[in-house]
Amino acid sequence: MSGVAVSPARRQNSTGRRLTLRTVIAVLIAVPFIVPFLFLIATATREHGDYLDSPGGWPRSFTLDHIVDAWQQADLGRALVNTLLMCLVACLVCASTSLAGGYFFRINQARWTGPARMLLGAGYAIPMVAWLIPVFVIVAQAGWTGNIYVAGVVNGVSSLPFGFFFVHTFLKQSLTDEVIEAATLDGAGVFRAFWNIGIPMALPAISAVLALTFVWSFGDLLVAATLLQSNTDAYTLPLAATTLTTREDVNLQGQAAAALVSLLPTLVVFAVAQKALKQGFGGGSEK
Amino acid sequence: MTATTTATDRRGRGDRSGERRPRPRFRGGLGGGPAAMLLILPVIVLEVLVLFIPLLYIAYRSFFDWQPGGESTPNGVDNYIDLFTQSEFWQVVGNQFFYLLGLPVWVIAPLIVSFMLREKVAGSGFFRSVYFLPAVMSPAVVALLFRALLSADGPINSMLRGVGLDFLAKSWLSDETTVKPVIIILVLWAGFGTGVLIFSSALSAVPKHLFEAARLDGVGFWGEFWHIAVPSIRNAVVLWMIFQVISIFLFMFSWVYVLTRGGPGLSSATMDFLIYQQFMKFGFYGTAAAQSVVLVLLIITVAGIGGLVTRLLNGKKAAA
Repeated sequence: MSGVAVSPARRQNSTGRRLTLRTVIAVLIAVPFIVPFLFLIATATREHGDYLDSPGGWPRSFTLDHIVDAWQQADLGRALVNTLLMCLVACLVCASTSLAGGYFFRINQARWTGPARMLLGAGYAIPMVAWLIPVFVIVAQAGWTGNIYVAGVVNGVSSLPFGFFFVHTFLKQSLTDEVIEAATLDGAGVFRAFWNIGIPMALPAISAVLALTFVWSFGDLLVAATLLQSNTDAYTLPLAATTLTTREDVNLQGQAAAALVSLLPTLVVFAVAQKALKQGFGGGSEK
Repeated sequence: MTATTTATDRRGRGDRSGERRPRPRFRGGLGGGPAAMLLILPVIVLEVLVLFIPLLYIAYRSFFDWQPGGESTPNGVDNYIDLFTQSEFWQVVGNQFFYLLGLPVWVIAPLIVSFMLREKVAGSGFFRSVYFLPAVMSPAVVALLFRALLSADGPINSMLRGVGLDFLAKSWLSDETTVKPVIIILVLWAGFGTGVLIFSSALSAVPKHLFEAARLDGVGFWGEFWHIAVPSIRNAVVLWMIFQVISIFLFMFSWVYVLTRGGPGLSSATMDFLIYQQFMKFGFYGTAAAQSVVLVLLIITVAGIGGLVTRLLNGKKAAA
């Protein structure tokens, strides 16, 4: 009997100790995720002499000169506008078609739709660099290289296999047969039902697809370096920032400033993207 | 077309409401009939035009001395022979499989940490968010940051020298022996948070009583981890493995291009980087096409092996 009385107390004790140990480990793991960004901010915002004294040390000065310089030298303002336009096009293309496609596969369970869904989803595993070569050849022959909207469409399609699959997985859990049936029995056609229940029910998934398409298009370098390389006026932020490294007149601090400017906009969709992945993947795989 | 179908449908429904109506009507209503094809059409058209036809076209052009805009002459399997006799090509294929060695780390590290964060950690949501930071950031730009951090006179080396570990300081990205392991670690850094997120939400769906029962039996942290946590979220683990394998074959371009340009030599180059170089820098479209075909075949092979292994493991589970 006495053993039973002792053990809860001991368990309590060891629980408390493990709490601190686990938290300490979590903090230690967080260090490599925070320190590089602190270094980036410090390098971009300290004076040159201060940086030369100790590149990795604590900053003793503050200046926005590098950011202003990089902004002008790499035309980051224009690159930002380009990137946002490209992302807008990519998001529109990917989200609208994913929504319709995902809903279609939810309501249509004929024998051929399963394999068709797998095939269209497998588009995700086709190497971008492979299909990009003919696309580049065609775009170049049409004289569309350096066109930000074309790059946007291409980026949107590259997220599409993931996007429609994501919407479908989400609707499979959230939209029951009864609801679809009720909507169509009222005499509403398939498009009315899509508009009235499909879209509202898929909103969380669509915001997820929007966030991820935005993140991927915003971060893309391969499409930009292929389709936009020839036209510096159409450079996106990653392309502009990475091109700085080849210029001798821009030092490391200028590059850091450009990198900082290029990273900040994606933080806006950070929370949405995180929530999106959580519900899309975790829930989906456990059903 | 839409209107007529619905009209006859409605009339037909009224005529013989008594007979085998309910089920066909239910199916027809759910499927939406031929008109619903319009919903899937955009996905099919876009994917076929941008992904599938170009893929077939590149397979076709890999048998040509392909000169876009100029005269392309068929040259049989010359492109492939060139490829297979080049040691550079095999080096890059080798790199690709070297990078795959990181797979256990990329999977197990987030798995352990998500299990650890599951309970008894104050502010676990905050930590998950911090780890997730790299997921929304441009790989190209983050690679720029790490290039600065890892440079010969960069902060990591000066920190190592500062604590008297001079012998460890080296030019990480221009040394053949360190560049690939460094990239494996950077891939871990970039994907870790996403992995933790996916595993955490999968773990939160596992019934709590499973863990409580194990704890009453005196099973420790690792016992719970291996025998309860991992098997219950096996689907999420497999899914994450697939994503990591795909990304190591498909999405390494930005990292390699910015960090090392494939160097030193070709010792850190991946297939996608090599193909990009071939057609964008050197203009060898035929070679690039043949390399793309080999890359697709490699992916299919790896997927096949993966599927086979999973099936074998599942079979063993079922037999036991």
